[in-house]
Amino acid sequence: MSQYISHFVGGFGTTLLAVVMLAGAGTTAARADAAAAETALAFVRVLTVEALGLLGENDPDDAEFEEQFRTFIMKGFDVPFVGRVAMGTYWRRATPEQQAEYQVLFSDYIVQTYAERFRLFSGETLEITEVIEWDEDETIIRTEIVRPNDPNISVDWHVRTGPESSLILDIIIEGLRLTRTLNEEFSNIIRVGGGDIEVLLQLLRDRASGG
Amino acid sequence: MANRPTRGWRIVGLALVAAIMLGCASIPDDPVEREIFLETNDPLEPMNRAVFAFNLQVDKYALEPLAKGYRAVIPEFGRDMVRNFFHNLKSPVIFVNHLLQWQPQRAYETAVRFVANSTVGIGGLFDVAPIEVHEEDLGQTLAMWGVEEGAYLVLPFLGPTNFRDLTGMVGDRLFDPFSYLANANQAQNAFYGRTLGEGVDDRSRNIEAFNDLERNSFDLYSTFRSLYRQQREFAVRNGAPAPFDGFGLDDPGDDGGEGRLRIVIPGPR
Repeated sequence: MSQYISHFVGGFGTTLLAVVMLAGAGTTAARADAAAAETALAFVRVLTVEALGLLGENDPDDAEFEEQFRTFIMKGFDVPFVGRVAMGTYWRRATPEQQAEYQVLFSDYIVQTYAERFRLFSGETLEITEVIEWDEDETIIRTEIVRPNDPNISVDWHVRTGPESSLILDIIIEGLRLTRTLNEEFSNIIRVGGGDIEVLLQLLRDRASGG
Repeated sequence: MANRPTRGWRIVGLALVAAIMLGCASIPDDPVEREIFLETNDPLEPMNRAVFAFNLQVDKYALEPLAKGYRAVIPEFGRDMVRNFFHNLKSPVIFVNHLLQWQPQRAYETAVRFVANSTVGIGGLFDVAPIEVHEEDLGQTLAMWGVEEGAYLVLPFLGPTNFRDLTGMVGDRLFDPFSYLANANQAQNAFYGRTLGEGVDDRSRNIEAFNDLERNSFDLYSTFRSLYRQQREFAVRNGAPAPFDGFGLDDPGDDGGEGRLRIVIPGPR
């Protein structure tokens, strides 16, 4: 029943690092004709090389690793987008000051949570199974984490290709979507708190100060 | 006498009705709150939260220690045998649901798996069939038939479900040969033993993940609800990606939008 929990938690750790394997993986399975899809694929490959570099560092301490991980995440992921979606419609009700503070706290939260999961990676291979053009600038890259003794785990990457750079908007592991999971937690916290955005901000502040 | 509900069951029934009535949340007036309320599909949230808190205590004092002990004592290959055995036991129910969803190919694969693993695999202890594992249940079948999920529900001990999946769970038991074997042999406890065994095995595979969620989640209840619902939708689609017309979430920071966050949850078909 709770197998999905470990996919979700383990998945992010494993995926981010398993991405490393993409660098060497052949993409013959990918049928991508559009330029955006090809750019997206190339982008994910470059990201993998950087992830590999992160892993290659000889055992930095936690703070140091977190800093490197932050740089990596901010470059590869559209964290402000994920943050807005996580807050959902309440974003429009937040004051500019609240929005600014929230985005700083949110990126800290993401970096802290996922740096920890990222480090738990144990070598697994990732295969690209399909590349789907969804939009002229958005691409879904479908991949599978191949595990020798367990069923494969499906991981979809939602990539937006801009004029200058590409960013990952979302990761979907075994159907569990990062943005939706955050949104259904965060917006509910505000709702239960009587619609007060401060309730969520306070939780994030407490987390940031080590609470 | 045996056919009439006993006094004990009547009390349970009354208690359930009372709990549901007390456990109902009222629909919020604020448009944003109402939208979130409707999307989370959890009108019984107050009751569900209480049951969820109870389950966390059961987990803390019984299930987690059991799972840890199990993992410490039994080596991995032994635990894999246990998992294979339990999964093999589910095969007849999975097979029937393939047929109910008219998936002859998957039904065939599940049947071959079952025969191979029950014989060569010594009663299902070894997974010898080089065939992909399929998971189906009546809840998924009902979804394929167009039945809505119904309100989200947290059951004591059994955890998250919804009214459709609960119906499916009861129905699956009716056509599970294991129930009949257990009943015919006066071994009803075997059924509870199986459920407990599956629970412990499952929990033992999620110890770190569960701790991680508990530590990093601000509201564990909401997180579990979200994960459960997404996982069920994914199972109903048999692993296909969500339909692309509604892939993704609208950006609430995008002023060109229609002014509301839209989470498009793919329907079951």
